[in-house]
Amino acid sequence: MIIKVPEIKSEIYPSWEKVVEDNPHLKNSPEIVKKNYEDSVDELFDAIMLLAAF
Amino acid sequence: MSKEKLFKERAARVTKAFKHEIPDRVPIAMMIETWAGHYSGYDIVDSGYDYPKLRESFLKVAEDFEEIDAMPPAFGVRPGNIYAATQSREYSYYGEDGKPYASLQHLEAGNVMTTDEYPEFIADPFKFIVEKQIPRRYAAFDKPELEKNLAFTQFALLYKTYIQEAIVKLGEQLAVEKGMPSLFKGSTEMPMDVFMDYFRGFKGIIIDIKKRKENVIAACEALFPLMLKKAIHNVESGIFPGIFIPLHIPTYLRPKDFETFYWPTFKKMIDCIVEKDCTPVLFMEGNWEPYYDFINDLPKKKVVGMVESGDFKKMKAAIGDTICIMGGMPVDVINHSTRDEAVKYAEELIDFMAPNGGYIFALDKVLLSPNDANPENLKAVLQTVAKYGEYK
Repeated sequence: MIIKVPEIKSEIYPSWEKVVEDNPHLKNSPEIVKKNYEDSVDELFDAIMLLAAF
Repeated sequence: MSKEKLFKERAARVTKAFKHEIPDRVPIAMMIETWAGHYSGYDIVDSGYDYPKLRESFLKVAEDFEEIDAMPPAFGVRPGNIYAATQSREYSYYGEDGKPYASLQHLEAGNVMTTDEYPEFIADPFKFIVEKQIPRRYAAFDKPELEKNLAFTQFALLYKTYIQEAIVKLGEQLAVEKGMPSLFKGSTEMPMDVFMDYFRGFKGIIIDIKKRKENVIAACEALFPLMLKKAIHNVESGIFPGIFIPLHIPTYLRPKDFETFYWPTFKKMIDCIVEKDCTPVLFMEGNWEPYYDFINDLPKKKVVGMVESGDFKKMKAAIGDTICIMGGMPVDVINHSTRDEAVKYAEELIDFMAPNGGYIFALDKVLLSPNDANPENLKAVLQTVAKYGEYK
């Protein structure tokens, strides 16, 4: 089982919901678009934490 | 024996020790960082900047010290290419004369966050990290917007290469070519350690716990979700490999201060990781004897402690039923004793640590510099443990 933890709460933390809010025409995007976007946000988080806490 | 079978045998041995079950013999694990390069004829610039040489050196250690059952990923060598591009203000592999150091040099971060910034950090730690903490630690991000954006793009490209070449590919090669499991599948730090290491420095945090008690407690709580995500998000659940967590400040705190400041987020982190069926592997720097009561409040037989120092016989009796103990073999003995003396020390260690399981043989220190371990004595000791440590 792949572990998931809750999303980070922050004014600047990227989320698909914010993308859609800023770009309403993306509202009906295929599921893979959202999934791949969220995977890339996870990678961004890992990269930032490498700079911040390592 | 095939490498696949060897991998499974080693993984099973360490997993049983994690669970306090009795394996075929005492498992051996080793914390190796830049020493792997030195042992293979490379300096720390080679290890930190040249990924093929980094991989070659770790593979050579796995080959020559085949008694080892699990090795850590090469995270401890750190990403030199990233530090060069981001202009780290803290890490140096070489001096102004261009000559490599024997081990990576680290200037304390110190006053990265000022005391009046606690409320801002507590309100939105992620934002504070991106806007303020990272630019203060890396000069490339302390620039006008366009230059900063270019630097971040360069960093992102280097990050992908680093993860792929230094971590993923090495892990695959160790597994496939040497049958060597990774000791860890993730890592994090406890919030208060992060605060000391990367925001306030040792002096700053020690003053803060006297003068800004509520701020320190609130800052640790605010940082907790980020450090939990770093530890286990997208990680596959399972007892082995473990989640590596170095503990830095605890043994500098009085037990009362440990309880007030460190314990709440420490305990919560352990509980959350264990709840997801993963094993926290705590790198317990210093002597933890004054904190054994706290350790005994951790989930039973779910945590591993790589303990740096202390009376191991006493430690086994005091906390050996709660955590799996890893360590006990001083590098000083490896380096400053005869071969026979070092072997005898290892045998005596096994005599009192191995009974009832829950023990992994390891050195008391991470191997960094060229002289951190005499290879001949180390080999003799590991060969002894592999035979003498059999459970009959």
